[in-house]
Amino acid sequence: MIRLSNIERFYKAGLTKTWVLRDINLEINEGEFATIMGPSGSGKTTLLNIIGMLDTPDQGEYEFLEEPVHKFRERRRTELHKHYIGFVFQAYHLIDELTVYENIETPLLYRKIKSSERKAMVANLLDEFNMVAKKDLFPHQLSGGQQQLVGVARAIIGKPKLLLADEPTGNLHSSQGEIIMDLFKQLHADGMTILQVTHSEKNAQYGTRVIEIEDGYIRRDYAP
Amino acid sequence: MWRNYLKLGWRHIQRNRNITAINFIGLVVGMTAVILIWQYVDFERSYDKFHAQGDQIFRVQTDRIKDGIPFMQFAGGAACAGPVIARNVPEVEDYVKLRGPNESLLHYHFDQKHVVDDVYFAMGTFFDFFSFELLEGDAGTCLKEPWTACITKTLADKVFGPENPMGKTIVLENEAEYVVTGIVADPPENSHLGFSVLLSYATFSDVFVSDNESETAWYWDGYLTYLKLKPNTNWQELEPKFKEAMAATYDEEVAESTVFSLQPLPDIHLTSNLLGETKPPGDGTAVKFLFLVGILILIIAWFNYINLTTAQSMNRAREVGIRKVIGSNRSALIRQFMTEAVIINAIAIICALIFATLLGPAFVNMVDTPMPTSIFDNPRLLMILLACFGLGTFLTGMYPALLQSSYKPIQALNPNLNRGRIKAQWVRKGLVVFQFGISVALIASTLVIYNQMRYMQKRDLGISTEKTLVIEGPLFRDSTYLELGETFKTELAMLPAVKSISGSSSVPGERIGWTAGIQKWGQTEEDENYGFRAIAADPEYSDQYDMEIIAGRSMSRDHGADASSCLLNEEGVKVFQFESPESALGEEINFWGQRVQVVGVVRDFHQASPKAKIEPIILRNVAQNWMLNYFSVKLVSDDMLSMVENMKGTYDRVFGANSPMEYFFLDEHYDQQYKSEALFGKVFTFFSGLAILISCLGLLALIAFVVERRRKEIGIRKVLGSSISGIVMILSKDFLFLVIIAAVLAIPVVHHFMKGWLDGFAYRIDMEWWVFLVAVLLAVAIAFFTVGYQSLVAARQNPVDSLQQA
Ligand SMILES: Nc1ncnc2c1ncn2[C@@H]1O[C@H](COP(=O)(O)OP(=O)(O)O)[C@@H](O)[C@H]1O
Ligand SMILES: [Mg+2]
Repeated sequence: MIRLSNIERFYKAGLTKTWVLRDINLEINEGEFATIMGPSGSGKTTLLNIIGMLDTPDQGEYEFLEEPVHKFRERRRTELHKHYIGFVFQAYHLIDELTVYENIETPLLYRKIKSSERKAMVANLLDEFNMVAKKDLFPHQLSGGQQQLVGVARAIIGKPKLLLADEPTGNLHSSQGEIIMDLFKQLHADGMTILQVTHSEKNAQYGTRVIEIEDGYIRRDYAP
Repeated sequence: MWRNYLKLGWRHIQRNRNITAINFIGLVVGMTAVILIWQYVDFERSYDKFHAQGDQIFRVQTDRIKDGIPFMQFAGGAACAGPVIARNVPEVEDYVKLRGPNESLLHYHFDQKHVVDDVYFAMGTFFDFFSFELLEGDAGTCLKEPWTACITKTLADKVFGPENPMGKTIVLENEAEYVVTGIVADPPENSHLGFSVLLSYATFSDVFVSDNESETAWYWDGYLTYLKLKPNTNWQELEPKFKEAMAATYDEEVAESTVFSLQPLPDIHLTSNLLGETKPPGDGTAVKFLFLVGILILIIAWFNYINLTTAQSMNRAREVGIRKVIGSNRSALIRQFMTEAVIINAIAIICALIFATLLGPAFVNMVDTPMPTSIFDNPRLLMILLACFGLGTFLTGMYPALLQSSYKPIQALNPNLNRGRIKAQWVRKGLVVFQFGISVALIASTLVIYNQMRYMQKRDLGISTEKTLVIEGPLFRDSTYLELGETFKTELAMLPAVKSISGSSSVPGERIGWTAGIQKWGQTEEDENYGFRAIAADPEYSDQYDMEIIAGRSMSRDHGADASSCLLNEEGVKVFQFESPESALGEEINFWGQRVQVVGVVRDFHQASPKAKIEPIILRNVAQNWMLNYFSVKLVSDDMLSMVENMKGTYDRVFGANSPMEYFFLDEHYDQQYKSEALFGKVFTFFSGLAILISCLGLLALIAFVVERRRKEIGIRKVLGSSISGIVMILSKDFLFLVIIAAVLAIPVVHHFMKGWLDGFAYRIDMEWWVFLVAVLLAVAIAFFTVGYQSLVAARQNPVDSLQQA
């Protein structure tokens, strides 16, 4: 599903270049549940963003579902991203002005899905996540764990092929974190490809593969 | 999706109530002001636009020229203008001539007399030219025959009541009988011709005037002449042909001294201010300035909107980032932000329309113009405003929308990264400079206008206008009138409150209508001919008005020969090229064949307002009926009203009650001349104030953002030991810098525009540097107080709070 070859990412500060990612070669197949681990500042988020097409590498090739993403213009990348990728953030990043229901619904609006269908999809998901009672609340009225549940719901409502999660439990108590991880496991079992970043060994255990990254290089790639 | 945008826009507006309120108030106040101003401007510009053939109709204006310099310029020109031009210039289809306006005494029933203004003689072609609505009568023939008249509906109702006026006879001045052949709808206010009675011109030309002089005289002025040109004629090229026609009809000399030019009908109201205008002319410059102020107010309100929205966009970057991550593309975001702009702008314009409608009558009162009070009476203007609203919404919505939708999600979502503020900041600084520039410009203009007004009002007029009541002579005068006038004066003088009384042909406070070409005795009109303004006055007149005699003496009843004496003003001495006022004494002057001697010279005085140049004036004694138009009564005390009843009794007794006594107070009469300038000053100041207020409001909110963003920095500085005043200084510095730039840019522009305005005044102030300094200082002070206040609040905060927050 994902094939990265010789990916480089650097920032220029004055005359010096600082590499964030160096010579990344990585392949991820459909149905995998992979975990990226590594110390702070090692480039995990950057890698995830490149895979999620929010960022572009300075060098190297990126194929997604056999399509050469590195050759695409912004518009086409946005389209790919919209149809196949869902994102979950450490800081949830819900829209403050929208209710739970509306936050989950928004991706469907951008996918031009009919109103009746939208309603059904959101209702199903709310039901599945046990959040029907909370659907009219605003994000600031929820606990962190509940907000992240909404974040996950929003990420998957569009039925993406790939779910990217950047430290999804980083801001949560461990019990809340477990709920999210169980959810991921369930999604994985249902066939979704998942790529998560985490610092927690325990969370890595949920996955099928661990990729360790340090100073921009992939150091190790193993099954947990 | 649209419902979603609307819902979102609304929630966002609610969440940011303060900012929205400021944006909104600015827009509403701005739009209200613009609606009101533009209504006024539109009305002033709408004059004579209702004539169906208006673009083909031109007024012939006559210049009297001597040595290449026009010394008199008439709205109603030479008697011969129409016939000569129509005969010789093939591009002219037809012409119409009018004579007037006159004031007249009119009756139908002998015992019900009406004083009517605006009586004209008009040619039969009148209704071919002008689109005044003839309610009854035949447009082609109603003014053809001598002794026929058309009257307005209002006058018809007043004079005839329920009777049908058609075919009835009205009597003017107790003797001239006219048959009513037409009834005209009242002419609209926005017509430079306002009439109540139209008498057939044939009456004047065929009956009153002999030898066809009213059609052939080149030296007789006061005929309003309008031409209808063939379609697609270039009117600017016709003037040389007029000259050729004059030279062919008379001779080269006449053609040189009597020059015709054309005025497009719709331009007359705002651009023409000549002798014998039919209505007080509009102030074209003032209208232009107000139009500009309207636009500036709108721009300021729009800039506020742009500034505040982009400042706010920092806070919305995260939302933009999220939306892009979950699948929004840029155009969807642009639509979303535009929707918000549309919501705010739409509500604002609705409120503005409501306010403008409510304030309409008060505004009409303020500008003292007979304009319609509601914008809904003017669909064209309404459409322009709506278009303007659409454009404004687009412009103000588009930039913030483009800016906000441009954020890259990974940047927008990373709290530690700079979110590409630099570009937006420069735009914002530019807009702030522009707003301050406008503020400086408006403050400086207001000061200049105010100073000029004060200068005019404080100027030594050279005459005293106090404690003077002026009684107008009766309209109907027979051969005994001069004698009756003497009796009236003697009787009034006996009243204890009356200090002195004198009769005259005109009084201060207006340009003198009587112009006379005069020369030194012994010379003929061909040798030299100086255009003077003439006042016929009793000998007491100059003393009563406190004119200063700088050489010789005033006229006097004690000198037997004084029936043929006269006074000149200084300007008159100059025109005659006498070496000094003293050397003018004893000189003899040929006044229309009469020999008069200069017995004194008065210091130049402002007969009309200091806006007009002082002209050469000759003061003569009252010799004929028509010269005794006014009785000026100087009173002992200011309490004049109680005397008026007494005087009315005397008036009725002496003159017989043929018309009621009309009177006015001279100082008020004189001040009338400042009315249009005073009005302009008032309106300009008011709306400039509004503009500045809206600007400040926007600035206040903008600074709140800046302070908010720098809260952490402020906290750190305080921990490091900075004083409160030090912090206020740091925050204010940037804005003060912008004000200075704005001032530097604004001053030359103001200087240019105000110079143009001042050029309209013969006597005017110099624009002094301190005016600009004061304007800049004021703008700096305003900026400093708005910035300073907010910074102070921020600087006073406990540093620990702000550091924890961040
Ligand atoms: N826009 C940027 N400009 C400069 N440096 C950046 C930028 N974005 C990220 N970095 C740097 O790249 C490195 C990797 O960042 P990141 O991928 O967020 O690390 P991680 O997620 O592993 O903690 C960090 O040292 C960070 O400072
Ligand atoms: Mg990271």
